[in-house]
Amino acid sequence: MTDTADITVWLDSARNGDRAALDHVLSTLYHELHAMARRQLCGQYGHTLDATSLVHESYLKLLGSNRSARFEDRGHFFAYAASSMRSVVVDYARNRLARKRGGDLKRVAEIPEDVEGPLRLDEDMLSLNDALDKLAAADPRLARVVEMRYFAGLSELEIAELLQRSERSIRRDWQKARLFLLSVMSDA
Amino acid sequence: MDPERWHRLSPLLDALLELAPDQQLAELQRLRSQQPDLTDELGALLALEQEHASFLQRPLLQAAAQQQPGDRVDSYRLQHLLGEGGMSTVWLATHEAGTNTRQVALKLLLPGLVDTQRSPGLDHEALILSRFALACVPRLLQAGIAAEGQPYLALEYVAGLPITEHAVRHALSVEQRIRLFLQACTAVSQLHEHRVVHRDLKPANVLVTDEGSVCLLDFGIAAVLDGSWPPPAHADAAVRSFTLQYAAPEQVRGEAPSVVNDVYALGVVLYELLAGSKPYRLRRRSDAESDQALLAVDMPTPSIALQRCRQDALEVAPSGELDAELDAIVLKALEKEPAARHASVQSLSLALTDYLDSQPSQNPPHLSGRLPRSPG
Repeated sequence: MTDTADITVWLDSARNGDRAALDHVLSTLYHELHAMARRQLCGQYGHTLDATSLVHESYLKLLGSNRSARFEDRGHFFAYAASSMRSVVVDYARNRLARKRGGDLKRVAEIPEDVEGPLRLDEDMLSLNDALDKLAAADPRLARVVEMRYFAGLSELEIAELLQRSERSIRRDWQKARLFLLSVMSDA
Repeated sequence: MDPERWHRLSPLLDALLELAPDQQLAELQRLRSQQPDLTDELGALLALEQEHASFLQRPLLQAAAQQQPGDRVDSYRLQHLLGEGGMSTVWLATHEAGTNTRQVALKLLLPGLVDTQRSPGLDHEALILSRFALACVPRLLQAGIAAEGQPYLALEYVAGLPITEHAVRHALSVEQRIRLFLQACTAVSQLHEHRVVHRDLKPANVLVTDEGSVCLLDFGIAAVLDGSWPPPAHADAAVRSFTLQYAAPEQVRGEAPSVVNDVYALGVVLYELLAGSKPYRLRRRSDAESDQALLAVDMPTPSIALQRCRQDALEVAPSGELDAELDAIVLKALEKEPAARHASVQSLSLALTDYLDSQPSQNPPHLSGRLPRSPG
């Protein structure tokens, strides 16, 4: 059996605007990350697994055959994973928008509208992305917290444990990050 | 907002956000005299937050509803979590039908991970399990999708311990550990006779019941060798869920499944049973390096590892001694080159049986539960 269904293939399709692939990639990463976070942070009952092998196992899955990235510790790993979730979503939004503007309406009509979410996966997402870039330039620590909380859906407590900081300081970073982003996005 | 300005605002925000709303106003008044140029902006920022209280509050992806003990899934009531992997959780659950209740192991696929219309991951495991009825594999009782779109498998519940823990708990000697391991080999051989490769053998999936019989669990990434149907791409490659320390190098590389994948994994289990530690210690900090360890570096022989284990006074070590012949049998199962391994689980079994037969008889296992601890 070949490795053609590797997550990297899904990633490529998602970045090219395939909504089903996006859903697949995000749910895979999401569940993987959350299962990992739970297993790492809530104590082990599996007794045979240690944190290192968990991180390693998921890292293989996440990166597929591209093993070039290295992680100093689990905090870096989760931050990286959150950041890659952001980049997939943003690429998807960018492609979708390009199609809309290019008049490829039939394709667009096939993509289900996310009417539930407070942010639409098009202009809204791209302006959030630009604002996050500005935040990363001004205060990279805050941008990382936004990625981990908003894009990876980790709780403040989980982020605190993973980054080895206090929950209170994560909450403060989150509050300030939102203010920064709101301010930038409402200026635009 | 330029970075420089943000660095002036940021510490002031830290202080302001500590305060209750009415105190914030008072503090802003105070700041106005000191830093008039920043105060308006701070006030505007705080006002923005109040206007957009829900901004980004909900994560892009919603957390899947976490099941709790007591929840119902179809006609099953969850009792407690038995295990959890990247793709599923397994619960001890009670099947409630009329006055009859029975305990089952209920495997819940994490919702959203796969298309719940088809749930290929569960279909895959259900199809594998439907290929054989073996005493060493818990029976599949029901596969279904609950009302909330939650796919599940209900399996016969088997109470027991992972094989390595069972050996430690009962302080098994080297010989007893080998005999127990031979039971696991028999179970895996039976799978292979049905052309099924398990591909995720590890102590947690090789259970020993209180009665001392071996049970194999978790066929989520098992493969069928005759290719009668293609294993679903989702369950296999996209969500490769093998456990790295037990996966054969060719499996890590994503090569075609084969019975020698299981020979390798059983070799790791045997190593752990006899030496008290895993063949490779994955170090922290450098994942790429440990990847290399699995694919390239040689491991200490089980007897050397056992010596170290005893030096560390770990209680997981078996009583009894390992010798070069036994080392060779274990290391042959762990050959990185698949063709250099025991060709089948059966030939691994044979080698171990021959080895035991060649040993001077001490206490026949049926006369004594434990061998005397050898000195030193």
